[in-house]
Amino acid sequence: MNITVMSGKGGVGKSMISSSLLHFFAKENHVVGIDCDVDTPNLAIWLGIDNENIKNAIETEKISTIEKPIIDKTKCVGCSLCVSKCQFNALEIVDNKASLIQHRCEGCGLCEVICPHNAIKLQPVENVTLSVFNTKSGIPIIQGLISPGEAESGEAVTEIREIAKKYEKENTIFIQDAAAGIGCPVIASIVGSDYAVIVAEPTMSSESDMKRAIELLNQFSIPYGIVINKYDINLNVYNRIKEFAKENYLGKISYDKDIVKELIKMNPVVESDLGIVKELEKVYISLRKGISE
Amino acid sequence: MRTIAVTGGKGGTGKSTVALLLTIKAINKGLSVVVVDADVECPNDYILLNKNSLGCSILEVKVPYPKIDLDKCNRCGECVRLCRANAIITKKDGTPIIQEDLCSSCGVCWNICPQNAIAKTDKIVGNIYKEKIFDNLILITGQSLVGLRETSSVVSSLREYIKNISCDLLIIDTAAGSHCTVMRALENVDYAYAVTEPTPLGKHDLRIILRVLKELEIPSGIILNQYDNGDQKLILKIAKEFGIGIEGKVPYSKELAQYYSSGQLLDMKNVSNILEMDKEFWL
Repeated sequence: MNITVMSGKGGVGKSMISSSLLHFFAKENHVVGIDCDVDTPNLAIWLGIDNENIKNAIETEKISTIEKPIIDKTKCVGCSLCVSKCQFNALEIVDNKASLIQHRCEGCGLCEVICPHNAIKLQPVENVTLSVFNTKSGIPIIQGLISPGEAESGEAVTEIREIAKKYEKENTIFIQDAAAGIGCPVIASIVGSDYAVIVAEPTMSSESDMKRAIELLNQFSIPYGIVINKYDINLNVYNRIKEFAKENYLGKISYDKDIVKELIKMNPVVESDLGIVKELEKVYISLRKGISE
Repeated sequence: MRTIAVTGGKGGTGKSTVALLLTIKAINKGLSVVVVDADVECPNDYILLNKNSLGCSILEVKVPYPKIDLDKCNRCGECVRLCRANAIITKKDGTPIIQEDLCSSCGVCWNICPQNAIAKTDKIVGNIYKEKIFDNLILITGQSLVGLRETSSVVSSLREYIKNISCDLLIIDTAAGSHCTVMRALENVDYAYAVTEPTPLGKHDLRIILRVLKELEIPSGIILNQYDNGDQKLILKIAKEFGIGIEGKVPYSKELAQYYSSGQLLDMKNVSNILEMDKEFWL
């Protein structure tokens, strides 16, 4: 089974909640964690793993999820046909030759097919560093980090999910920690997912983003539940979201300023003495019930 | 006119809040300001500026989109073969069908079809909205349609639209992350502030966004949000690594959180005083 934790709004607690759900599910199931935020992967950090230190990884490799044009300057005559045709404005003329603006290129290959002088060839670019970590209790965490300035984060998420399947056993539960927003990396996360946990916080910004996230999930016919994190920062908005959620309400978690202390100690929340651990467990129990229905 | 981007990598660090605090400071100095909400997937600045809606749509954002004339099509399969987005599938008889949600509008198919059977039409992918907040403050928002994968096209359109604006200060509030949507929002700005928090997450994501800003050759500074809730040394280390200063800070404030959560930032008395800036950022 594949569960995606998403929100629309950034910073509401997706990674914190994903890390905690992994812990609770692991008591009864084989679990695998997938960090589907390839820009700024944070899941491992919430699990107490310093993911910037490659030595902590059990596996790491650079992979390519995109091909980009290499311009042969001996063949290029600077006709600028590619510049004018590129829909992403990713090419320009520099010193009379075509030149690529790396971060704008989506790897479509139009320049390669239309160049009248055969001066352009697409080549794979190693744009994602894939790493696999093991938590103390042996849960595999798969993450990818896209190189700065690279596009195609959606492709990277799809690739990471494929690689995560290698760790699948019988009745594995995959917990996917999605990126913020509702664009291509999030869509790449939810395609084929069985259930979504929407994390909201009681702010009008989060409320608005949650509704857009739900609209997206409805387009893909994915059932969902809503958990309200830091619920006590605004009881009016909390109650409104809870009422909106109706039978999809999974539970609430209090705001605890001391969570930062645990984060700095690199101590997973579920291993702390914080009161929210009990609340997280209640959310897990509701979720368990929700997915079995 | 000076253009400043407010970004940060990490979601929820306070980009929009800081963007608006900078805005209010600038207005209080007598400047005319345009705020551009470039978080097109989930725009929120209108909410924080006490508005109930995005305002009027002044522009529909369109991208090119292929339309196959099946009478001209001879089922050669070239478009299917060359589409790197795998957005064209075929029926058993070879009839090509475009899967709308996978199409990235790159133009390969309509450029290469040997039968000229593919026309370049267009489709709407989002909207640009404009709302006057005060005499000297305008909000411009880009919003993508739900389900759109390539949301950077809406950001590009937004950036194109604002080229014709004149004001003293243009503040661009970007989305979280470091991918193409964010990069399009950051291109060619005069200065960028990376908003972060003093936690291991803030540190991790700050390093990533600063690499992006370096790649784009944009002069930058750090603004530290909730600076007294965490370990500042984590951020000082990154600042030193990149040779960039912490140029502003906001303390943890329950009051600010309250007003933020209710979408009433403008109602908080002297709200912009909560952001301490080292320099006169509008210059």
